[in-house]
Amino acid sequence: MTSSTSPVVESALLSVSGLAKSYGDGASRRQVLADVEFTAQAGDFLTIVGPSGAGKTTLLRCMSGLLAPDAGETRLSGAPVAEPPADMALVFQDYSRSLLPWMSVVGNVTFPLRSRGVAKPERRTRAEEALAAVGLESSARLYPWQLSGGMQQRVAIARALAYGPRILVMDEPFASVDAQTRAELEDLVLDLRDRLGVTFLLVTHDIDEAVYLADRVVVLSGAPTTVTAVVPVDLGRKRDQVETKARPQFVSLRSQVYRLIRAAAEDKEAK
Amino acid sequence: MTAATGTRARGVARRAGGVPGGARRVWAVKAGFVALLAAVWEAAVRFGDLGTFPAPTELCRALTDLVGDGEIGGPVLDTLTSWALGLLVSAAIGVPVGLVLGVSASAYRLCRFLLDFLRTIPSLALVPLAVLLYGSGLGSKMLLIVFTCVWPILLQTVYGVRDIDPVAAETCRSYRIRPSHRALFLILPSAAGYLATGVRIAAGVSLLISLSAEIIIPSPGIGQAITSAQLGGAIPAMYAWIAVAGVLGVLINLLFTRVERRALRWHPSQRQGGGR
Ligand SMILES: Nc1ncnc2c1ncn2[C@@H]1O[C@H](COP(=O)(O)OP(=O)(O)O)[C@@H](O)[C@H]1O
Ligand SMILES: [Mg+2]
Repeated sequence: MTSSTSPVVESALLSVSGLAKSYGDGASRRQVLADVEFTAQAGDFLTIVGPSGAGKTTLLRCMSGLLAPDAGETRLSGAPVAEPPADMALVFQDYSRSLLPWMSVVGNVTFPLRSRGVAKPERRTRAEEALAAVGLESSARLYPWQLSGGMQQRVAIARALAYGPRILVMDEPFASVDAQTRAELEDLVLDLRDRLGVTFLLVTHDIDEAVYLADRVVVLSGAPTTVTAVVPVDLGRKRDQVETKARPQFVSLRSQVYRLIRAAAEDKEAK
Repeated sequence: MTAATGTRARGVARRAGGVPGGARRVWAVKAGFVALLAAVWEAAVRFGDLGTFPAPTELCRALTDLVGDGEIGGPVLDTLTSWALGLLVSAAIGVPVGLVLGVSASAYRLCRFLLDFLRTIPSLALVPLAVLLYGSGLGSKMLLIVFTCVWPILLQTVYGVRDIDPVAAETCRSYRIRPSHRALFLILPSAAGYLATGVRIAAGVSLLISLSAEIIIPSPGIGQAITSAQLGGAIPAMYAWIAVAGVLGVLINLLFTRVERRALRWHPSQRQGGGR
């Protein structure tokens, strides 16, 4: 039950179709993904929600070219993804391990650009812009480990922005920061989407977060994972941590997503 | 592992001396303790019977004589040259080979037996071979040093490369970091902690083998100076040369500890304040 039809797929920025992946061999073989399918339009804020262990990280690694799927394919701007595409930037949950501790903040942000052969003045400018966008212009010379967790994740987001991707893919980016920081970072990415027009694909196990951020929520079932539903979120562009979350529409969307996940789990158990 | 405990112990020591006044007091206590030991030693020689063992005053006189007539320069230079060159060549071989064996599991499996075999040969067993090939010159010492020092460097590099954080590696892959940058900015810094330990161990071993080779072959250097002094009956001079070797060892260890601390400022074991 996905909302993808062929004309949509053709115009989509990102399309995932028939993605399947198993781990292990022989008796220990375990299917994690089974026929995952969804699309993202340019400018979309898509969230993917599913319980822990559902295979969300596996899905991201397959669609970003880090891991070869058993079947199916991902297309970005129409081209099949075989290795990490230059138009996609990843933000990992574990920021402290994703940032390189021997490089300063600005060093981390410019590293992918330097490797791509971008000239130094342009690297500088892009890093400054990206750090300003996440509110860290004054921390450029510090090392990541001198920053708080929330600030480190901002650095990782700045690195992704400076890379200049068409789509920013985030794997549970706020799962290991405190609630207050988490709310700030959620509003930061909404603001970035508004100002910079980047397409976001954010994976989370948190239903509230999935609904609060998204234009559309892709709901995953438990393993082997398929897309249970794609729920459109008509809460408008402007969101507010208190006001939006108190709206009846938000509450009913949250319940709907919750029920979909539970129903999928019961369905799987029945089989 | 000794390396890990070493760095941790150092971190603790530094924290203890964190207060400036406290640091000065620690130094004063250390100096006082050394002075006390020297006094006990002097008394033991004067009033006891320690054979040819010199008193600190005699030792100091012998040392001043060595320095005074410039006799000290040649042997120290000879020993340091073989020490440094041997270490350099060991690193030049050990690091690249270690990188390759660390990255490629199949290459490691292929070489493992040979590696373990060569590593267990005591280098002093190679003295006759070295003399046959290079006589009593620098070449002989170098052969023995490199044959001994390449292993700690190589193995530590392998361990370091294996210890690359998978998240950091995946991040580099997702950002399409090119292979040369990967080697330089991901693999090498990841392995740097291990590598520094390997080089520090090798630096000590290099001095040890230098001296041993100089005594056994014999070959010009501090080791030969010790033997000559003993054979010539200049017993205080012999002790002075031994002391020179000891001081050199301490200085080398100090130097490498310093360099390591500066180069690995970012490393969790070296961070001062803040950080996780
Ligand atoms: N490299 C791997 N080898 C074997 N099993 C794995 C591997 N990575 C993940 N898994 C298994 O696949 C399932 C999904 O994992 P993951 O994609 O990390 O889920 P999520 O991100 O939704 O929590 C889990 O049961 C996990 O144990
Ligand atoms: Mg995950």
